[in-house]
Amino acid sequence: METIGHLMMGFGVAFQPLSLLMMVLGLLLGLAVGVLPGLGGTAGVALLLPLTVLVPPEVAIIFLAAIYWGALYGGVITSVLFAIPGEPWSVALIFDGYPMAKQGKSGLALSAAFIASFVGIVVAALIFVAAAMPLALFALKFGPPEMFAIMLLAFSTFVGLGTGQPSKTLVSTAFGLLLTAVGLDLVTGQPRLTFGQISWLSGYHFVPITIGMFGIGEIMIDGEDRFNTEIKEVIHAKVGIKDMKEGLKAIWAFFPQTVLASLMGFFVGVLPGTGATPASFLGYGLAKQYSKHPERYGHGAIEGVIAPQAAANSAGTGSLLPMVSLGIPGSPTAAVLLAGLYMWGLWPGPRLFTEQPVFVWGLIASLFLSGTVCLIICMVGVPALAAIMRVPWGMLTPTIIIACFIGSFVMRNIMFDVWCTLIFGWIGYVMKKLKYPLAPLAVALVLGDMTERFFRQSLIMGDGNPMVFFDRPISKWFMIVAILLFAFPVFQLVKAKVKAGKAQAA
Amino acid sequence: MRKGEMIVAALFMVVSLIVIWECFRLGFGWEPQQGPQAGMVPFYLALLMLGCSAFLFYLGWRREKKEDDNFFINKEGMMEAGRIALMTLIFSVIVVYAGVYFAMLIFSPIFVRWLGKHSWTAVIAFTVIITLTVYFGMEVGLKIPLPRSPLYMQGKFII
Repeated sequence: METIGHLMMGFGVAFQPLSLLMMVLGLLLGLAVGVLPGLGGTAGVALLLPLTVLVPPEVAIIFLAAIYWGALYGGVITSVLFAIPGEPWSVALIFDGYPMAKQGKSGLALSAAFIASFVGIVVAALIFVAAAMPLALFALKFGPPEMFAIMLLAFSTFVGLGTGQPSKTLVSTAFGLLLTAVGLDLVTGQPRLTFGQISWLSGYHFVPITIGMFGIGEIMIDGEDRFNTEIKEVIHAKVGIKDMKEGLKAIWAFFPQTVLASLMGFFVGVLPGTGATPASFLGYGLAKQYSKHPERYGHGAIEGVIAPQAAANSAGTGSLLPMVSLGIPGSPTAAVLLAGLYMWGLWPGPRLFTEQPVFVWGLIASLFLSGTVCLIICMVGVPALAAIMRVPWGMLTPTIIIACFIGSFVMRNIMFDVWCTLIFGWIGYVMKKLKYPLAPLAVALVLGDMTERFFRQSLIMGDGNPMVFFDRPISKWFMIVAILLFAFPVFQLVKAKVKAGKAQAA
Repeated sequence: MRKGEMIVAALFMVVSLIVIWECFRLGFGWEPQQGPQAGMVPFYLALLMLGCSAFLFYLGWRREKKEDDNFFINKEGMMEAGRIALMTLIFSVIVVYAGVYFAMLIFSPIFVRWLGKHSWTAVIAFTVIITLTVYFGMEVGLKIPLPRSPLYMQGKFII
């Protein structure tokens, strides 16, 4: 009952004119970001983060989250119409969405995908409402050892569950954590890793590095790919009333699958090592595996559009749950939002629920509202959104580059951040080309200071004995799971070796 | 790709070694009555990074060179990525030394003409529109001041 009261208050916040205006603006920007191949959701949110100081935090978070939802919806359009994924999480939609479009059913594919997104967000938001408060209350019991253990657990999911090569994931994570160590030491006040550079004393800021890596780096990748991707047949589409009806019917026919994909997507999204992209592939794979007609997949099966999209959007929502209640971002985009929270002077976790109920419940209520509004915008706006793709590359790219540099500069108003954006843009390009995962780096950049502080506090509590992490009941289990996840690739390697040995012997 | 893997792994190794060297200065042990020294966490992180990048270097070195295993997609793609990298460099250098407006006025026409291959009309239209949008959006609308040139600081020029 208490929850319903809170939720009502949240809707009160979300329905304020300023919140509504910023939400619609965020959704439109997010949709544009989702459609544009050169600009991803993470960079999109990071770019606009500096501007959010102009509005109250509860409006700012609604705005930034709306960009994320917009990007989650918008990736659909290019995947279905052009077979070009606007976002990584919409790749799975090409398998069946594009064949459907070629059969002249693009309107149906789009409307089914949009409604599936909506179902995904609503299912996820319902779990969010039920789980956020208990999870935050559970976190009340946490002291520094537990906080460190849960952060370690977050990093371990990248190694154990992520798709990247484990050594590369570890290098990425360590690199991100080391970057946060630059500057004045939090405990002793000594300058460290600054090598005499005055501008390094205040440390590297998260925003320019993220904008560089996810913005400039992506632009370079995109520019290079221009000479590789052949432009496939462009299909024009409009979603009519008939498509909407049929889309609804399709969702209804596959309702259990849609809800199941959303549930699965949510739990995949909560884990930091996995996000909307693996969720959408998993959703597609599961739907295909348990389908009565697996042979229809890949040739324009509508359920092949519904399942991955519901899973992806649910995962996006899920990634915010641990961010709000524990301070652990479930995805790189959630990491940017978490950086925003710190910037606005808010502290995630149980205190946020008691001290800033307006903020938390406004965000939760906005999940429902943005999902609905975005569905409407998508249904009527497909032709306009598809037209964004026709903005010539030679004008779009300089616009994004200018936005990236201005966005990083206005964060702290120092020129050092311009250099950061440039250098980390290049670094991001090279790392991405060599398949170093960037998500753990982004999460490490946000959590780095906190992880180190909790680690050192715990050690001081234990008087230098690292067993302090294993003496306490909650942190013990977090540590054990984290260590198992870190060791997981080694198990796999040993298993593969044993198998290969057996094969050789036989 | 093999060379790229090895070079990047080697660079990460160098970064780790620099951090480790710095940690010897800071101290990475346990200070009685105080707790961990400032270099403790970076030291072990750098050690981890050194180990992993050395392993990656070994993997790259052991790997055989294959066809279609190049770092860049193709020659044209490489040139394009290089041109974009150069353009970002130009933009940031001008921003730092002459402000955002000079940077936009120089960067935009070069990009749109050289990489975008648009007509001169499009070049001029784009440059004017983007500059005015940034000015009215950021400085007039949101009241966020952007960096300007030293000439502006001396009151000699409008940007």
